[in-house]
Amino acid sequence: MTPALAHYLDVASRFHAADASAPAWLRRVRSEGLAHLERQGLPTNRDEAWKYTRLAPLAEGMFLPPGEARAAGRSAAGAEGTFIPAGAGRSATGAEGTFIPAEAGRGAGRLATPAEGTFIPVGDARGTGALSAVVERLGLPGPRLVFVDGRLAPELSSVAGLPRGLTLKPLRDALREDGDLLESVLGQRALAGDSALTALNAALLEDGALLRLAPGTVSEVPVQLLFLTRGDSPVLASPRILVLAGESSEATLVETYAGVGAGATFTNAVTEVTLEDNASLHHYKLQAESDTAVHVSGLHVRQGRDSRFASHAFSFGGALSRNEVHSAFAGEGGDATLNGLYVGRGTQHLDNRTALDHAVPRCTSRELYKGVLDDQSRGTFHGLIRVRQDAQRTDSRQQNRNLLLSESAQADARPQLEILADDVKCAHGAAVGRLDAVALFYLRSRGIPRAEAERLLTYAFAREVVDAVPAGPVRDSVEGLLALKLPGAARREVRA
Amino acid sequence: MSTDTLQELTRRPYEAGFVTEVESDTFPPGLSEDVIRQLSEKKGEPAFMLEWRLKAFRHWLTMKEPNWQAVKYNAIDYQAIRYYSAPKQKPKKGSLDEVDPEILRTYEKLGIPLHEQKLMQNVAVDAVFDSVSVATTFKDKLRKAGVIFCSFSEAVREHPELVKKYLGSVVPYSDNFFAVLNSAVFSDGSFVYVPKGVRCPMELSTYFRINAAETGQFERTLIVADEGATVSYLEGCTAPQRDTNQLHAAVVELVALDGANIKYSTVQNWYPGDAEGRGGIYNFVTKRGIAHRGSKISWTQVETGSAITWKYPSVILKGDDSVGEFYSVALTNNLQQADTGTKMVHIGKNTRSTIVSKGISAGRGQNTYRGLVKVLKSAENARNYTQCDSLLLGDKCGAHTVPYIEVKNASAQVEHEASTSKIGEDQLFYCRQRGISQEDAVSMIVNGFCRQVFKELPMEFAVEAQKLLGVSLEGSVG
Repeated sequence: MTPALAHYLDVASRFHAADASAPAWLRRVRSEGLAHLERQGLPTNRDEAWKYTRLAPLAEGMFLPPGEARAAGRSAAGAEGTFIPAGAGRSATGAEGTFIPAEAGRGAGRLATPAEGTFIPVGDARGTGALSAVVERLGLPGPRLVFVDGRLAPELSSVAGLPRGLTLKPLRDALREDGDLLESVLGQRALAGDSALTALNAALLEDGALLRLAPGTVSEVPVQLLFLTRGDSPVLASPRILVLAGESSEATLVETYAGVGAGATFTNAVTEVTLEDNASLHHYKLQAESDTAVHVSGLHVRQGRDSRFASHAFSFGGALSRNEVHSAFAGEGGDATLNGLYVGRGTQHLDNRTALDHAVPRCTSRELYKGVLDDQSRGTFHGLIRVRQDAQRTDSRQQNRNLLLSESAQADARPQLEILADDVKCAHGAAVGRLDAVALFYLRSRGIPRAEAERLLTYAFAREVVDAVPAGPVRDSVEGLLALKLPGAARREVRA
Repeated sequence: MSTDTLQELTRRPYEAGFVTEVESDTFPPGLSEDVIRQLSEKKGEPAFMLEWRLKAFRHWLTMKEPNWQAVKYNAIDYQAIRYYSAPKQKPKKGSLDEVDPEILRTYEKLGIPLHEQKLMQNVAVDAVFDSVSVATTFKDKLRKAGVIFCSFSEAVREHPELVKKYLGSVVPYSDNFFAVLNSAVFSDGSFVYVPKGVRCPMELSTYFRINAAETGQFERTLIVADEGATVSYLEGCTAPQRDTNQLHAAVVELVALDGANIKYSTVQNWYPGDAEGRGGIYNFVTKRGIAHRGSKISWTQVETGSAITWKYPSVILKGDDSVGEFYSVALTNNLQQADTGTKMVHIGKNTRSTIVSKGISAGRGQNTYRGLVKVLKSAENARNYTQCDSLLLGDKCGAHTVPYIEVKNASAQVEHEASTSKIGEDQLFYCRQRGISQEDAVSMIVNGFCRQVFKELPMEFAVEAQKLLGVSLEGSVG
């Protein structure tokens, strides 16, 4: 057993023991997660699914769940804490997660100037603690839950204006209040037996969100879940998000992850989505963690008949980022769109894995993942399309394109098709290259300086994925984050 | 198309499935250092060969059989295989007249007459029967050009310096489970050396035949094209129809020195097993070439046989401006499984590679393309184009595409495209309305699908390949 695995098993056991008052079913979910983690061990390069990504930072970081991390972070950083710690393990004081918002210093909330070659955290909330300014900056109009270092921050959250039929609840409340429901749905889409990281998330399950849509509910405003890590403690945040979309319901969910300060953190998020017949979900994931963060997420979806699911995953931050999207068609006529953009600088490692399971006939899927890689960054894409034996009339297309901006950047692509039905249309394509010399020449021949021309072309390349986001606050938010990542592009930004 | 015609036609027998009655000299089943020593002694090998074999065997004992490939098969009992089987005959012949007439008849039945006057023009053949080479034709003509073309055993005896220099230089003794096993127990194969600046005057060809039961065939081919040399090499394979599975684990090494050009074509038609998946050859093959500056290595393969095919002919593009090509048609019918593809490793500057893979699945066949394109940091201006198309004939078969693309140099341009489709009703209708029978129409469409690959084959082989595809596929479209 590696020291890292021993550490996480140890941490999870302590967590388990500390929360002895949890309902029996939740204790079972956690202990099963622990058992699966122990059985599988943390993934290594020898696992085919992790061939290009090394989880070494996890071994070095020895991250701690929110409760312990707060204690550790406080003792290390002295009086810096802007939190009132909830104590190791959720003690029965009733003060769990009490959060005192820091002074909302307007000036401190401004974005930092990009340091050369590294990604900049969205703000620096240490010391002055400008969390609410960060929330203002990254928050979207509409209902939202804000989590800081893995736990709900009620003062920054707002669930006002929820449409009828839509329930948005912090998971910690739901675990207490909706035990029967959660017991039947939690862990149904994301199986702890399939992935050590899902198992780790289950073992440390304590917070997250539950989004429920009654049949026929149509929500126009996006629901946002904002996860901030401050970096002043080696926190391991394990949010779990459950989405239950009833028949013919429609909603938009935005998960935003951002680092607010420098310092190593580890986010291991799991999202489980169940779309009933004819339901529709637009899912956005905006990941702008600090450049010292480890970010791993798994989005697991089950699509009912004629349901529509669109995932847009933007990976900008993290020393190591792994973005997984798994969608399975359970009813005919479903439609899935999986889009992704990963932009790497410095020594960032951005990993994307998607898996589409066409288990039933007549479903359609479209997939576009693009990577822009500069400096010594490395981007990897592994996309699997599985068409099962009875899934006739499947129509599936997948594209992965990578742009290498520096001599030392790297890209790995693994588009993969597994097809067991004959009456299907399936295609995939993958490409790696640099900026088109002819296009550059064209721009330069019209008097645009080289650097400017390169920026324009790079931005245009990335823009294709942004353009797939309907105009509105979500796209604005994506553009704002992209502009941080591709300096210069912001000035040419065209607002729709 | 009706299911009846489909079934009728897929039931078509394997034409090369007969057994030749010859007395043979066979080892008892089993594998140990003693067996290897015996084998080496039998072949009169110099000491370095025995050492190399033993080194490989000891390494093999520490290895595990790979399990990542998308093929399923019953565990192979390596102790139940006979590692040597040779037809009994007088010591190696000077002329074909001394070869057992029974064996000559076998090759004639297979359409490979070994009498030079009857031969396909301009193709020299090395015939390998079970573990040994029984005849090599046109040796004199080749010798005049300076080309060495002989069985591997002969090369070890006659040209030990060349063998010593190049054996294992591309596929080292420690390479992978099956290649290591081959290094320990390989019995024969072909050896080709084309000297500097020589263009080999004729096509070279090896015909492999597994005859004896319970044997494994472990042949090793080594082709060296010296600076500026050019050679085209073909191989063909068949085996009798048996209910048990037989293992074939071959290794092919190609060395293309500066400016050389090697073209390697395979038409593989090992016994694929019957419609219920009984019997058939397990074909686990390691093929790799190393391309030095300005050289070119081209692999073309038509894989229609074997119960299991596991092979990835690869090119290491070591020298600047070197070129690698891979053209493949793989067909799986009934319960056949193929996991095949290529590796193109770009090391030198301005290296180029092309991959065209056509997979056809019928019956309950499973066909996987698995390939790697790797551009190392040193490979400035590397270029790769990959195209993988799959054709599915029937709703019980599978087509899988598993490409790996790893790029560490920004100046590289790498493209991969893949598609999966079936024969369109409209295409068939178009042919039918012009009076072409259903069967001919399918055959035309499939041949069109494979055209890009077939046109890379030398003419004689292209004809054979088209025929083979016709036989293996007829009626399997429903």
